[in-house]
Amino acid sequence: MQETDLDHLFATARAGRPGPSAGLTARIMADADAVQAGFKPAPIPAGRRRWPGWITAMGGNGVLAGLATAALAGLWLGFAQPAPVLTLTLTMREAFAADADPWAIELIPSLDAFGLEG
Amino acid sequence: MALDALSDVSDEALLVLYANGDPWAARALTLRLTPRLLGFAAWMLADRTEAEDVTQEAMLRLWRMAPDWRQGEAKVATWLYRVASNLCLDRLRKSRPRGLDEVAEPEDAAPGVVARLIGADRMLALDKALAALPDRQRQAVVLRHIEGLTNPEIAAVMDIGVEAVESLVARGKKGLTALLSGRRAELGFEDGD
Repeated sequence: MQETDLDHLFATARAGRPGPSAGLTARIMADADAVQAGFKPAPIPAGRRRWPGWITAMGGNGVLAGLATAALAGLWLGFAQPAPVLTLTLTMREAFAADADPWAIELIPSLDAFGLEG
Repeated sequence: MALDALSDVSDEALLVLYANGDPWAARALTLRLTPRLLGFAAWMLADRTEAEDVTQEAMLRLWRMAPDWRQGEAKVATWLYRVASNLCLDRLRKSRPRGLDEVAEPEDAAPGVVARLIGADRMLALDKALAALPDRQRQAVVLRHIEGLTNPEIAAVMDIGVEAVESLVARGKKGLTALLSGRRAELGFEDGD
């Protein structure tokens, strides 16, 4: 018996692996179903039990996270006004304080440069 | 998730799906792993009924521990081979002691299960020669050369070092060569097979 003979025997053994019978597969699957039926969801701590109902009604944790993000973004925009909005607010305030003609107020003064260039 | 959609999912992910109640994950794992376990157990025990019992028991232990499975710590297949190995070794210890003397007359021994299933003289000879090896050598040789595991994987299954695996496999193959040396012509290896 040589090394190559053994390799040949092993290769034949690999190719001829016996398949499981239908009965064995059915028994294993029945075990799997029985064990899986006994699995219970992890208990929720007492302090968190009030929330799941309305969180689910809102659409779940993902939706809740989106709503929270949108609320925070709105709050931020309210406090930190972007520069163009601030300019507009100041222009309007000065114009009304000077009792200027509403039609003559330059809401976007920077556009004058474009008008001059034709 | 349907069975077809699970073909590319890893064993570990399937086990997590099973623990989370997926009805198809267990079927996918069974179809994927049972043939390997049964083949291994059949070579180890040379008894189809016992091999099926070991396979069912190993899979049952897998189902039971699914909720506690820690991803990344081990491969499901390696874990199963380890469980099946221990179950096989327990059964072998409880049954008759094995030794080279016992297989000195292979004609008197009952045909092994794999040999019967495959129906080949060469497999019958290999089955008997493997049965004559010490349990640990047979385990290492079957895992390496029939199941196709790597030496590190076998080391994990057998809970020994890689060098010890190499030694067991080498001694096992040497033993097989000695056991089958007188049967080369009988098994048709003279034609350059």
